[in-house]
Amino acid sequence: MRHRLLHLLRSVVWVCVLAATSCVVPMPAEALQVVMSPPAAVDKSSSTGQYTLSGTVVDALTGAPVRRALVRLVGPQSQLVLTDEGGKFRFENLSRGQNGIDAQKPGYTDSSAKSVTVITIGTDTSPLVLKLEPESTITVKVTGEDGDGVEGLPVRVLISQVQEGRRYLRMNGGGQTDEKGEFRAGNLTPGKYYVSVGPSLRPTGHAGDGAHESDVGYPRVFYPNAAELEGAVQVDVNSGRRARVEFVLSTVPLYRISGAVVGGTLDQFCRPRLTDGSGVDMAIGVRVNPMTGMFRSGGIPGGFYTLVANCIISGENSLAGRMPLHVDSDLGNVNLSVAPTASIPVIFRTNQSGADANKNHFLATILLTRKPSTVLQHGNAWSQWEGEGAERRVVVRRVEPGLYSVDIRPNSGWYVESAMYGSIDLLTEDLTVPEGGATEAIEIALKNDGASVSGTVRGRGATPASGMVLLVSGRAPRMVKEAQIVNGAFTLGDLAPGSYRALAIDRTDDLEYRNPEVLRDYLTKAQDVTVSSKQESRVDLELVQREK
Amino acid sequence: MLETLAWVGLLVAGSAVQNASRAGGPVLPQTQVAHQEKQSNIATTGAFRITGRVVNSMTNAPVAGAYVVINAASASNFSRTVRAGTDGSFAFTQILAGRYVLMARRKGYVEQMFLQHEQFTTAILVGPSLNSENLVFPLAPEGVISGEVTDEAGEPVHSAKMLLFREDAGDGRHMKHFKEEQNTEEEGRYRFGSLPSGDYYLAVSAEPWYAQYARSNSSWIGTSAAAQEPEIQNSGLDLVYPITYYPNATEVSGAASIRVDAGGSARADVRLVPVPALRLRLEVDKIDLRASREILVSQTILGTYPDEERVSSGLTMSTAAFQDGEDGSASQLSGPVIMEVDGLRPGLSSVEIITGEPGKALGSDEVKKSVRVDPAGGQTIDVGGIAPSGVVSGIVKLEGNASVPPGVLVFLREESSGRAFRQDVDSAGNFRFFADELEPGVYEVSSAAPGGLELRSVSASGTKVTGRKIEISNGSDLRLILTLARGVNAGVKGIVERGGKPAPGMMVVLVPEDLRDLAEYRRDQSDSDGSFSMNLVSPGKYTVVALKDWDLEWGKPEVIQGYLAAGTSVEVGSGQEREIKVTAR
Repeated sequence: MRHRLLHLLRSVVWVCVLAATSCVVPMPAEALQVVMSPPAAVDKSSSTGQYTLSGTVVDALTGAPVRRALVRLVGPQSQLVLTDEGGKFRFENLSRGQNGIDAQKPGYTDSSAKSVTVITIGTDTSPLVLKLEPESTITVKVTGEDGDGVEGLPVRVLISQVQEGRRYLRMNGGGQTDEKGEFRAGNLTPGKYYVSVGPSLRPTGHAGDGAHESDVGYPRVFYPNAAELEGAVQVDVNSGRRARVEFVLSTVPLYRISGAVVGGTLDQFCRPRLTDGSGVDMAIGVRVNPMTGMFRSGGIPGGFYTLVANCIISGENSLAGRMPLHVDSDLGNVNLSVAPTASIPVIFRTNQSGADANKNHFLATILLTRKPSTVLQHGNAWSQWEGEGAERRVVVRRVEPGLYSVDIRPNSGWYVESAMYGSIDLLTEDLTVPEGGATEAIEIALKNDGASVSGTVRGRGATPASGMVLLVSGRAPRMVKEAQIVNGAFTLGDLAPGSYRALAIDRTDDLEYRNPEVLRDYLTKAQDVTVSSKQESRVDLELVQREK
Repeated sequence: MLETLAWVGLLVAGSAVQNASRAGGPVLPQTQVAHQEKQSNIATTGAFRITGRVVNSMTNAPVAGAYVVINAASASNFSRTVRAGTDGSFAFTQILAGRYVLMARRKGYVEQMFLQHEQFTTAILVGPSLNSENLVFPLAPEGVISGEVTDEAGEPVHSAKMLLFREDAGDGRHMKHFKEEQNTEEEGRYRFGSLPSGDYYLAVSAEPWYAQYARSNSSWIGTSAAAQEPEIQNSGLDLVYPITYYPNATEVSGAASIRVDAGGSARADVRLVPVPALRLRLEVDKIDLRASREILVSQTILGTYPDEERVSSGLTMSTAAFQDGEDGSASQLSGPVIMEVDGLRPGLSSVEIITGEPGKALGSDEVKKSVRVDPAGGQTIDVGGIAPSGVVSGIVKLEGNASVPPGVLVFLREESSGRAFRQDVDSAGNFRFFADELEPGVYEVSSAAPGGLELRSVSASGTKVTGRKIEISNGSDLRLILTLARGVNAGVKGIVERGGKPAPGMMVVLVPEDLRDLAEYRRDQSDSDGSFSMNLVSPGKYTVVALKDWDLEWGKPEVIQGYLAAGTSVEVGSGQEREIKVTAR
């Protein structure tokens, strides 16, 4: 099957348009994996070897053997087996060579997503011990003002995580409290979590003196007792830890709002939703009359919200709107106006034409991140290539008006020479998307005569086992390139000619290195390197140790 | 009264735009017509009261601290919640005259409307010389079914889909209806609480956790020669759990009912035993590079719940085209191409092959082929030999050629099974059903539309139309024209009496002349003043009967026949509303 599968993606480009942060659109590499993994799964020679591999799977915390764990050989040789009652496994008929191996079982953290242990199979392969990390859980208990557990209250567990140098806040579990007022979020990876409960899905009572009346219910509260994300305390979850958090809640007045979605022609269902100050959806039900565009909602604790609507009209177009809303009483006649979203043509130009231009069909992924970065809302759109040869065109649809930062990730072999929106240089400036209809095109020039920088990294006395090298372009500081340090060395390719600051850092798992503010302090320790077209440059770096 | 639009709708937290569903699931036709909302700022305080006591329906003991809610049955948004005192008593004061729906809930009890039967309740009328005080609101303690799902090694199965069915006579005869589903938690446990008493059935749909690693997780594609030997290592772990019914039956005939009484709890553990997964090959005659393909395999559980087993993505499809084409530019494949779907359960399954344009929402341009197969034989299905599924499409028009307002729905309801399907109508008035989801049979066409628009007539090409009924057979395309107008249907309302007094809480059944015509039956529950009201009645002759027994299989002609003599005859014409008196038996 070879690499002809690459052709598959020639007609597809993923474009990720974000109102916020998290992007679930597959990056090129992932898209390829999806396609390639099935046919490439097995090497037929695997059943002809003469070596065996055996070992035990144990619980990393207790050391006890784990029965019925799945052990997988992955890589050139691929086999599967479940461990026996004593946690033991054995593979036979293996050939000599390097191979990956991992183990997993429900109740334990799936480590295969992070890394695969590489082993060498041969005559003297000794029995392996594979450790499984017990998964972590957070149990939430909510007690109401009557001392009983509160049943049916929404619970959400959110994790703040850095991925590829960007901070994301994402849902990591959620549901409703059970009849005991408890909820358990399982299968958590170690990390720091925010936990929120409420608001009540429906009123728990009614209060009033005739003049001022309202429903009452439980508010939305972040652990330990904060109305907003700001002020919340993260729950630290270590490997295998079973954390327990308790809330004792009192009821508050709940208000109703009603109003209309106005603007455009609403021939499709359009349901507004309420988000809090951080952009977290309040999960408060909103009823809409599709005939009139009138909506109404209830059970809203007092507070500051944003009312957001995204209305898809047809396959291609949509209307969007948002407005701040201060709720401190029942509100009527809330009019949320929506305006057409934009369709942004994106033109990719390469310095090549003809047959060569087809070599790397998947030219680039483009990511639009809405500012200010709120959380957890995203939509994506994808489009087919139009055009042929050296100029390709896609249209990013349904982009809500606003300010966006633009990130372009070309395929391997290419770099971004320039990215312009009219006279705006998207490599250094943000993109302002106006209301409505078609906009100017984003014009992206890609070139394939990139330079490369490689070198070694010296740690304090020893060769560092891990870490990351970051290369920050002097011309486009937001386009950070990164590479893993492997055996004390690194290589970075597809670099646009120009000057860079190079930096080796021991840990980047929680470093927002795509945020210039965060990176600034480290850049003082960086080293300059300048490259020209097709140049293969070398630079040796000193590892920067971050404080734990 | 019939209550479908209460505040329950508020509970559906809606962050996503609701998509027009491609496969319209079973719904209740005709009842969920969205009403025009009115913004009203009328005064909400008046001189009347609703008072009463919430009691345990089994013991008559007071239910302290129950939440009691009233919702005005009119278009106004009026709703109020109070908490019952330690003696179960509640009081709503200073309320306006009108009709109110009561609802009560308390932990450990089934949330329910006042004297609720199915989706009906006895609404309380409030006003001068109406008695809305000293009500006794019986609240049934909840039934619970809970248990544990374990695998062949006695270990818990997490994320097993637990499907709960309940048997009732809501469609006029005793039938098993899908009630709710939930997934087992990490320790393999599940718990269905807040159940009304009744007979339940439980089905489990799960997959061995390790099995996904033992197969490709994607349909395997190759030319026929290459497809002879699947290159999947036989690890002995490519297993599936058959759909398993309580108690541990893998055939539906072995399913046993679980009796739950009010306040009772039942334990239902299930042990799953894996069997080898099956594969199915589909022979695709030619590959269209621009087409994306989706394969869905599903099994129907207890005749109603479609459990989707296996989906292959559209992306992989095109890979086959590059098997032989050297430069990737062409799709010249000699010979047929085989697609393989693995990880299938034994048993009769429905296989759907959907071909559409890549990048476009599956919808208007797709072609769907559908075949029912028991994959046990490892057979190869010639997709080219299957006729594309028929499409039941059509257009909704208004009398006088006015434009169709948004929000119109079209329903198809199969006469004998009562299964109903729903589709939204687009802005141009078009709608589209796939005929393969509709078993061949006679279907009643109905429509729900805003602004008092009702279905006046149905015409069709490709099939026979009798009134509002069409015949759907396998594989053929049908085109319908639905004409809507105002004032088409009739209404029947009135009072139920018993011993000369208004009789609340009765089941009122409007029985059509043709006793087998289930689509024309209407029902209601009489309110506190004995009143009932039935809308969307087709013009015609009916008998209205009032019954005490809500478990009666009124949809069986031989059952309802015996009640007609005591009923009240009524004939209504288009747009008419008749008022009658019915004596309860």
